[in-house]
Order: sequence, then C-alpha cells, then structure tokens
Amino acid sequence: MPGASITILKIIATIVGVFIAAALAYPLVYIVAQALIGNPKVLIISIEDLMRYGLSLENFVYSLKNPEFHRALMNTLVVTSLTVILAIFVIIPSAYAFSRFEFMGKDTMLYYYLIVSQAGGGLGIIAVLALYIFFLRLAAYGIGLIRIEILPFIYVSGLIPFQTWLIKSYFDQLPKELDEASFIDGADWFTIIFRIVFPASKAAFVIITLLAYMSAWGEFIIANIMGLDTLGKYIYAMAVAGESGLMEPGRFAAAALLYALPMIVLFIISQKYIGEAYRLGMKG
Amino acid sequence: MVFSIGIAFTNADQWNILPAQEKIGNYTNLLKCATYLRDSPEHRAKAPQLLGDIENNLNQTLNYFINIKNMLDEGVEPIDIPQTYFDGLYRSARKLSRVKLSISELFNCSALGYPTNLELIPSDKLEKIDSLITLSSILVNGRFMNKEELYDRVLVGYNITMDLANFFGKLEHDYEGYMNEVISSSQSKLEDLQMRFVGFENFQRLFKDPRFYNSLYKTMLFVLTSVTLKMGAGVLLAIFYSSELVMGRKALRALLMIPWAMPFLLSALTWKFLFSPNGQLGQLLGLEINVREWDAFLVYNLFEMWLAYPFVMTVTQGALRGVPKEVIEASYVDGAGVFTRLKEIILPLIAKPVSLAAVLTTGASLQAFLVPLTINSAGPIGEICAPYVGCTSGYKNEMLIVFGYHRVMIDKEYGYAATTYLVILAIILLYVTIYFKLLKKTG
Repeated sequence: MPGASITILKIIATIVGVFIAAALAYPLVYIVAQALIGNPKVLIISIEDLMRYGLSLENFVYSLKNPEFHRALMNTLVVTSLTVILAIFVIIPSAYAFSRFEFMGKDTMLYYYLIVSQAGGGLGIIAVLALYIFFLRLAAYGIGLIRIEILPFIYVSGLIPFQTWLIKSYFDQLPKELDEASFIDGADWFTIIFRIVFPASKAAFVIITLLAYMSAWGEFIIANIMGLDTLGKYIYAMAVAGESGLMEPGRFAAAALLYALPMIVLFIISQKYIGEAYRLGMKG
Repeated sequence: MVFSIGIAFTNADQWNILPAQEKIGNYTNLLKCATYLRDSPEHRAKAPQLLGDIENNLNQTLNYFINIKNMLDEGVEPIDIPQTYFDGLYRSARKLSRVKLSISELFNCSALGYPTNLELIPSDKLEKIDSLITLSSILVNGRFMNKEELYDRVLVGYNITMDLANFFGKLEHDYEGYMNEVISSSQSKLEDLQMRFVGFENFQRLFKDPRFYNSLYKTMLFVLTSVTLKMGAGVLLAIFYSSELVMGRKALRALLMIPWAMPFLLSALTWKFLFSPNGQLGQLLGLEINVREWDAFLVYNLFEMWLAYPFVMTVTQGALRGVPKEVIEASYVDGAGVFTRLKEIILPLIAKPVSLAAVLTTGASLQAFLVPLTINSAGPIGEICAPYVGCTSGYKNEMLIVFGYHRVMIDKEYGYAATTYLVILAIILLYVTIYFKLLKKTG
C-alpha cells in the first residue's frame, strides 16, 4: 500500500515540521508571555508562573506612562524622521548620478562602496568608535558634537554604501532613453527631474524610506556609545547591558515589544519590496 | 580616519583626551611655586630657621612623651607622675601652634602668586600638629586617668610626634631635595595630563596582551562552530520544508522567518531572559553563563544560529527552486537512498549560492559583536592566559570587535583602543580580500 505509507509519512513529516517551527518561534511566544504577566518582577520559568500571576496589560500601560520612555520615544522620532529625510536627499541624487553620468573616480567609489557594504557590521562599529574618540577630542576644544542631532548623520553615512548600490541598480533598470529623449527635446533639468525622474523612482523612495526608518529605529549601539537617549539605547542600557532588565522583566519585555512593534509591522509590509531590493542589489 | 590612525600612536586615555585646564594650571603653579621656594634666597634663609624651631619643639615634646612612657613602663602609677611633666608637654605643644601658622604662611603658594589647590606641605601633617595640641591639653589631667588609658594616649602622642619629627627633620636637612621631589612629581603628573606621541608602544603592548590572543582564538573558534551550525540548520530546514511531504509549508515557512522579522534588540532581550542563570532555559539546561565561559560560548552559538538561519534558508530555498521537484520527492520516497541522493543530486545543484551565503555569514561571525555583548557582555570575567605571553584578567569571551569596543568603553584608553582597531581593521580587510577572490572565482 504505497498510498497509505505516503500518508503516514506525510503526517509524521508535518508533525515534525510543526514541532520544529514551534520550537524556533518559541522565543517570540516567550517574550509576549513575559510582557503580559501580572507581576512585573517575575521572570517566567514555567507555565505555572503564568497561571499564578495571571495575564494583564499593566506592563504595557506602565511603559507608556513612563516619562523616561516618553523622552526616549520623542528623541527616536526626531532621529528617525531626520534620518529618512537625509537619506532621501543624499542617496537618491547620488545614486542617480552614479547610474547616469560618468565622472572622475566613479568606479573607484563604487568599488569602495561595495567593499564597505559587504565587509559587515564590525567595520561600522570600529568607525563609530573612532568617531567617538574624535568627538571627545573636539569637545576638549569646545566643539560639542555629541548631541542627538548628530545621530541621523552617522546613520545615513552607514546606509550610503549599500543603498547607493541598491538605488543605482534600480535606476540602471529604468530606460535611459526616457530622460535622454526628453533632454534632446529641450526639456530643462527641472522638468526632467520633477516630471520624469521623480515619478519613475517612486519605488526607490519607498525602499529608502523603509530601510532608513527601520535602521534608525532599530539602532541602539551607536546611540549607546555616544550616550544619547533613544528608545533603543534606553532599553539596551537598562535591560540588556544593565541589571534593571532581570529585576523587572515584565516591564522591559513590554517596553521592548512596544519598541519592536512598528518595525515588525513595517517588516511584513516591506517584505515584498525588500526582497526585490536585495535581489537587485545582489545583481549589482 | 587620519585622526584615528594618528591617535593610535599616542597615549590618549580618559584623563588627557579632555585636558582639564584647571588641573593643568594647578600642577603648573605648584611646580613653579616649588621652584621658586627652592631658589629664592630669602626663603632659603628663612626656612631652615623656622624648621629648626619646629624640630626643637617636636624634640622637646617627644622627650616628655618618652619620660612619661618610661615611668609607666617602670610601673609608676599615673598619680605619682610629677605634674610638671604634663605641664611641660602642654607648653611645648602649644608653641607648635604658632609655628604651624608661620609654616602655612611661608609655604603658601597662592600668596606667592601661584594659586593652586594642591598642597606643598601635605595637609595631614598640619592636621597632625593640631591633634597633638589637643592631645596635650587633655593630658594635662593625665595624673587622674587610669593607667591603660593614659598609656594608650601617650603612645599615640609619641607616634604622632615621631612622624612629624621625621617629616620636618627631612625637610630641614634636605630642603632642596624635598622641593625637587615635589617638582618632579608634578612634572610627571603634568605629562600624564597631556597627550603625547608614544611611537609603536601601543602596538608592542597589543602584541603582548594575552587578551588579544584570547580574543583571536575565541573569534576563530566562533567562526568555525557558528558557521557550521547556521549553515547546517539553514540548509537542512530549507530542504525539509521544501518537501512535498510537509503539509502547510507556506505557513510554516513564514513562521520560520520570525527571527528575521524580530528587531535585534527584542531578540537579544528575549535570549538574555531565557538563558540567564535563573531564566527558563538557563535552569532547564543548567547553564551558568556568568560563571562558565564555555556555557556562554554555547549560548552565543545558539543565538547566532537562530538569528542567521533564516538568511541561509532563504538563499537555499531560492536555489532549490531550480531543482526539479521530482528529484526531491523521489529521494524521500525511495527511503534507503535519501542521503546519497541528497549528496549526489541536490547539493551539487545548490552548492554555488549556498557557498556564497557561507562566505557572507562567515563575515558576520568574524565580526561577532552584538551577540556576545548582549548575552553577557562577553563575560565571564576571569584569568586569561596565552602561551608565551602570560596571564591577565579580563572578559573571557571577548571576540575581536568586542575587544576594541571594551578598550574604548570600559578601559577608556583611547590610544590603545585605536591601535587595536587598526589591527582588527587589517584582519577584516584580509577577510574581504579573500571574499572578493572567491567571488571572482565563482563568478
């Protein structure tokens, strides 16, 4: 009976599959339970803990009312929006230039971007540490650069190498004939940019906005090195690096979930775009 | 960039990166003041005279203490000690208070035009004079104290006087030497406060630092173990969940992408909670990540695997789509030949993209930073030994990038830190070169 044995095999395989998926998804379940527990000081060890203290939204309410959380959230909103704006203003024009024009050092720069974007995160940390020491030295001469407004600039410099490649590949795919034709037709630069390039690069704007938003919102270690209060830094410094996390696991689990929520939502929305974008980037 | 290369050759640290003008001023003035006192003929004449006075007074006081002490040692009752001894003690100590005043006048740097909050004559010596005076006024009634109490007080007084006599004696006999000592110590303080060029000292130090070798070793080991784990997990999961045998594959695959969708900070918090020694999995598996270094290392590996398998899995899935469905199905149904078929048919077909993913993810492991940092700050702290170099204490699981990070954030020795990350940078560049070579080869 080959049919029956295949059915049995299917059932076994499915059970195993569900089991593995559940095990790998377990941390998310755990942290949600931890955030919902009725007593913020209890670290969940077994399901009985959950029964004993019950479920409540108290931890979320506490985080939302916490003034420190508010201040960090405000800072994060400022930093994030500045990062998005800055990224759009810097990356899209430069990617357009890389795609359409020939200029001195173009290949060298592209190669450099490629190396930096493929080298990995460690390079960024090293650069930020060097920058931090540099800022400290500047502070000795009375130039205080370590302020919240500096973060968008650092974040955008981190985004430039990879995203310039990404958007350049995107522009490469747009037919070059379009802007060339309109140029020959006698359209001025203004018209070309606003009538032709902008509408055609809508997807590029969406990608940059999403990626810049997610990286600025999710970043915490640079803010922590610089000692600037963003939401990520607040949670990291208090709960991950500091001791408060294990003292009040419920509250910090809730805070971290609140912090993560916009990013998870955006990730799901952007799945399609980002998959496409990475495919394009890889091709470049 | 140029700045950080430059700073790698200096001794920058938390004291001199932000030079405190005030502190430097204090030391500069103390130095000038001591130089002036050493060289001015007026002070050279006045000082020995004044110091001589002090010494005489101190010696007198000391004699009284010795006399009283001797009598007590001989078994004389306090009441039988002549009152003149105590009165004499009191008088000679009183004289010290006048001398103390002239000393603070004579050695007053601020009055000489070199304002500083540092002391030329240690203030504890001057305070000792005060306590000696207080003691002597208490001892006026010494005859009526009980024997032990009197003896204790006399002993204290004797010790203080002895100490003062030594100090001022030295100052009197070697006035110039004392000032020279002050000068040289404030000079060295000033040097510590100012950044200077140290040449290759930092590099030498780095190559003699056991922590550096430990971190190299741990990083290489981590690359080896974690890359194996995440590639294995990613590829196997991709193959398994591509099989027609598993029902509801799409939903399950979406579920498997959770580690990718969770922001890193949330994942880090979750894993920290789960694997802390009193967390759920920490207790279940008996892991002591803050005590045993290999327990922590194991958790890093698991965390890295959990974080990275979605990437490997996605790449592998993409590659598997190119493999004819029948091949996979047949390999499962056949039963006996599953692994042979996997090895001979599927793996060669997906080898290229998967090996590219492996190279990329090797880079991630080489630069492991957030994983060890968030789990337990790359701890535990303990003795680190490296063959031929020696031992020192430090964070046992410091991977390369964490090593540089800790030098900045914990040690705050910025010059040394800059050196370490120049070396780390060289290592990363080496990796990138190899990576691009491989990329070119595979096309």
